[in-house]
Amino acid sequence: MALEIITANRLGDGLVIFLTTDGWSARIGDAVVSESRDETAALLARAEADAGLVVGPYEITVERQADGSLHPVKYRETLRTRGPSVRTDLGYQAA
Amino acid sequence: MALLKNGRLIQDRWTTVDTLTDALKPGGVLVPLDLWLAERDTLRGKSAVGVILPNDADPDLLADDDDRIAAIVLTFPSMVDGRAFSQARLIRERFGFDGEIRARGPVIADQYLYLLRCGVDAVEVPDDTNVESWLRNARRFSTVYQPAADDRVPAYRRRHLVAASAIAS
Amino acid sequence: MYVYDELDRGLVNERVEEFRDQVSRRISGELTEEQFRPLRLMNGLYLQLHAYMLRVAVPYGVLSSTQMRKLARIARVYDRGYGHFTTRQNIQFNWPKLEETPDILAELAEVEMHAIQTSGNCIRNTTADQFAGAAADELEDPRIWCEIIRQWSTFHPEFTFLPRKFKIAVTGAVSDRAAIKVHDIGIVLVQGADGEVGFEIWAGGGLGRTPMIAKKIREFLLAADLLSYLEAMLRVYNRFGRRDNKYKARIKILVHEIGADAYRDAVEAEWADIRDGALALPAQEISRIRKAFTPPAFEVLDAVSTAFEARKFEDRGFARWVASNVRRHKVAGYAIANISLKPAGGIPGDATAEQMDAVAEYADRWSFGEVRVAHEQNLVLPHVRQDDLYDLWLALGSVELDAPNIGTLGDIIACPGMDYCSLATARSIPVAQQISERFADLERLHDIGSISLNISGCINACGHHHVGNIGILGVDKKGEEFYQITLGGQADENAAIGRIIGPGFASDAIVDAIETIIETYLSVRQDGESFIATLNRLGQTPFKEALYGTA
Repeated sequence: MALEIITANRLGDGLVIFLTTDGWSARIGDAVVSESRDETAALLARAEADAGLVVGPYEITVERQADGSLHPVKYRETLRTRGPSVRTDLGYQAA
Repeated sequence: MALLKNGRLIQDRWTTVDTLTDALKPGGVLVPLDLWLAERDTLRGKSAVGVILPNDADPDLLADDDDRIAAIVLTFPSMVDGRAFSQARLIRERFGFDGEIRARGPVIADQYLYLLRCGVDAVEVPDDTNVESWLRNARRFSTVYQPAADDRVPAYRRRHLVAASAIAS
Repeated sequence: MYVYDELDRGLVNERVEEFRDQVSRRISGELTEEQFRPLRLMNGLYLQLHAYMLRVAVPYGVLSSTQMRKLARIARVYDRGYGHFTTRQNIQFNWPKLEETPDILAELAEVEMHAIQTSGNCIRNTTADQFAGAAADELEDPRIWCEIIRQWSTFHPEFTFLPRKFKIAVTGAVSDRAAIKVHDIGIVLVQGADGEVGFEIWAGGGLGRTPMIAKKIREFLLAADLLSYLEAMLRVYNRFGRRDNKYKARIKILVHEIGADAYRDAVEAEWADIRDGALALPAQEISRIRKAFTPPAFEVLDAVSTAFEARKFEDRGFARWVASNVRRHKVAGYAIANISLKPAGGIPGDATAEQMDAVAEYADRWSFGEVRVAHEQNLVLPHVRQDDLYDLWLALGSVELDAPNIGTLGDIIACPGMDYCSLATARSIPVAQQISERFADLERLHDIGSISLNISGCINACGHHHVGNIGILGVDKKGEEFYQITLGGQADENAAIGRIIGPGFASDAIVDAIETIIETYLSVRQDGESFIATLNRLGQTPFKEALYGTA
């Protein structure tokens, strides 16, 4: 199966975050990667239990690059991970 | 479930029933609209009957019965399905129904003012409901901009009542 | 402008406290996201791709300079230095924090602004002609009626949980600049048989998945009956509008399915019962609100300013800006100055905090402190002396707001698209940027002349692509952004829905396709013929052949 990670928006500021082994991170590289349907379901259940901290968790498909970094497959998710393509001075891409 | 009515949580003394047999037992009963329409003549002798109105039903169906019905239950399948707000106003304002209009469904405290303004005077709520939160929402706004089923005077009249009385005095 | 009295002020302040309470209940866990979502939406707070987005109402597109400065401050303090003016005359901030939104709303309340009902399935901000009170072709100022509707629709207890969102637009002029025929309800101020001003009522227009032009519901409605009639229209919709499918829940589907006649009959029957009730507006209230829109103290000026004419003669750049951006005012010696938020290569509708502050300053200096927001995502200074236009133009140039392209191919309407919006299926802004860059040459732009090009990044059509002379709809085709072209749309009094011309184009081919369409137009137009007139004369065939070859 394709690799999957769980993403959501943080309740307090709405920024994009990713489920890690022990919480959430703003960096996609910290995300815990699922390699099976069952694993994804378990991660989603964990994410949904955090409804007091995050909004709208869902899974996205990613690819692992040669350097080990994770990249979303869908363009929408790439945009979400980086920031607006028309304002590269904003969003995570600006950091 | 409890009933929020007149600013207090009270025990719901009405029983929802589905059959004529159950409906004719002693005590207050709430019956589905279909049962009421089918058995109206049998049920009308009973003093405490309420009718559950689906939110896509025409309130006109109860227009001639309003003096025989003690309560009308309006249904909210979800908090955002607002058809019953119109039903409530028609029942209260057009038919002049003065019995209980009750909201049933997952409505929340933030909608209480709207419910009251449309003529709903009782809401079915969980037993552990924070009544203060509901009442705070009911009292929150000192101004209304439109007339509804309550007796609040909309801003466009209030402004000129003040002006008129100032001139008169 | 309308100024809040103590009742209005109290209500908006109470709303801020209500939202503060709702936010804290969400954070404490008392409210679930499912419960909180409709509540935050009714305060204009969305959760978008990268962050929350706050949509602030600009009632019927009217801003004072003080309000504009407040928007600049909010952009600076709570957001990332800019805002986005929308196709419904509102402004959106793209990066607010949930915890800070009650403070933003409190700051807005200080200048009589709010975000009430800027989203949600309720009656949204009523929009109007951006030239209201200034247009030479106006029968009466529509803002009077917009403000009356604003108040009536605010926290309407019966119509806050409608089947779907509900948009009303009002125009008082012959030329429809408010796109009333693509609104849920469109209102046109008209003169009755005895000379009295009343309303012509349209309903069931809209864009989105199923675009439709509104149907005329009533020929003439007396002014005092406005609210009772609207209440009847909304009640019929609330009761009978579909709720089984969100894409079929707008009033346009109801009107279409039962027919305009049946809808009209239902409304008239409902209205007969409430017409003489409490909704009849007292004459004192109409005159109170009318007074708020008394024209500013215009000077008595000559119809033609010789200084202005001389400047146009001397400065070609100025003359060009005047030709495209300045419109005739109803008062002699004055003009309406449009400020384009569409610099070549820019993001349509975006303005920085510095630009907002500058526009506020120019409004104070040259336009009685008034600014307007146009649904084309531009700003307007409605009341500028012709003599002041040159200084205004120079000042606008200093903050890069002098693009001379209103009503041209550079004046593209575009929704935020996938760069910001969580619903989008493709990006819109980069396409707008590439097209405006391709046509940046002013000689060419002005030679092409009057045209509208609208881009939406999904079928919800916030970029009004159906009513652009050229419409572009971004779709997702197997993970790639793809763009469909429609031709023939119009948003004005001759409103029409554009028709798809053929298969869509990939993102690297869409700009060339637009250029092909434009070149075709230039080669077949007759003297002085606009793009839409040429298209209506010849049909789609020449454009289709140019794009796809002959079959």
